Amino acid sequence: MKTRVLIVDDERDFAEALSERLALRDYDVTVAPSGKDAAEKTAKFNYDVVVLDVLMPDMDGVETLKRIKGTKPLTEVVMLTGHATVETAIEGMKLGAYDYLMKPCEDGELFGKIDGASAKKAEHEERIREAKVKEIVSSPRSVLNG
Amino acid sequence: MGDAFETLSEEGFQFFGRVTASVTHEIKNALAVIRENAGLMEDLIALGERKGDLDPARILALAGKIGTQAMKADGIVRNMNRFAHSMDEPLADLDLGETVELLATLSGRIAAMHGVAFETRVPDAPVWVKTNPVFLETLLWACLECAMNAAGPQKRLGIVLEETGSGARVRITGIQGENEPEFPSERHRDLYLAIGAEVRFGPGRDEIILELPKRASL
Repeated sequence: MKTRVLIVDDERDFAEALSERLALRDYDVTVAPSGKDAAEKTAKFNYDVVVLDVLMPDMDGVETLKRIKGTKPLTEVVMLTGHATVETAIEGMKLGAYDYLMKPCEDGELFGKIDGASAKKAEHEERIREAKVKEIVSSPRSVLNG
Repeated sequence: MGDAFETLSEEGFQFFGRVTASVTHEIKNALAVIRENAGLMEDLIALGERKGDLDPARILALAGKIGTQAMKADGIVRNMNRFAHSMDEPLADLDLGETVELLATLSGRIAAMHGVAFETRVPDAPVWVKTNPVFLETLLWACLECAMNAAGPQKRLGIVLEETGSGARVRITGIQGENEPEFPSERHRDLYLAIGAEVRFGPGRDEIILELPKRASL
């Protein structure tokens, strides 16, 4: 299955170019121009990885991250930042973001972080599946309760 | 002037720091757009070589975007350079229209972060004053910052420059001044008195008025 990526950035020319580059590499990409839109989209749809700009006008990166993690805790978030907002990105990591990158970033770095984040989410989901299977095996009645 | 310089050493540097941080962020954004579009161009050329169908119009469009961003970054750097050179002279002849436009442009992204947009209105003819550029810019910034915090529901702030008999007036409109009861503070007072200016709210506290003399006596 393709990795589902949501790019959140108010700089349209940046988001469009990155989106097309990821699509050429076989990712399933969606773009959100604002934190508010990203929060709505993540509440409705399942993304594997969100690439999130830290500094946006309507809702900043940290607030957007909190909303995303609030509705989809397993979705991994890579934060994009300028020099001035590195502290915000670090705060984001404390709140559960997978990692951060400085703009402009090297191709390999960003694609690598997206793959790493996607792999982490897949591993986490697998562990949850395994835990559920164990629960069912050890207590078959739990299927009826759950 | 002693108090004014003490205030300037804090307010002025904070202002300079905020503007520099915002402007360098804008430059990094422009560089990021250039980087991604150059990368996309490389991807499309590599793909075109493999498949034998390269679309020149698509490549030209991307080159156009890169050119636009390079010019945008150049404009940002030019404005920052003009701003930095305002520290050169303690007393200078300023075309206030240019100063107002420069400040509005430099703080445009900060305004956008507040969800606010500026609309400048300056006369066609230059409005000259002789003053200390750093004091004036710090004071103007203080007014803009207050206005951003107190922006009315429309979130559109007018920056209106008018020539007066004794000098010039800058009005920042579209605010709800009752939300900023502390403005102008004692610190701002030090600054405006240093250049013989005055800062006050208009009647109804819906605008900030900055009155400037034709010549500041420093």
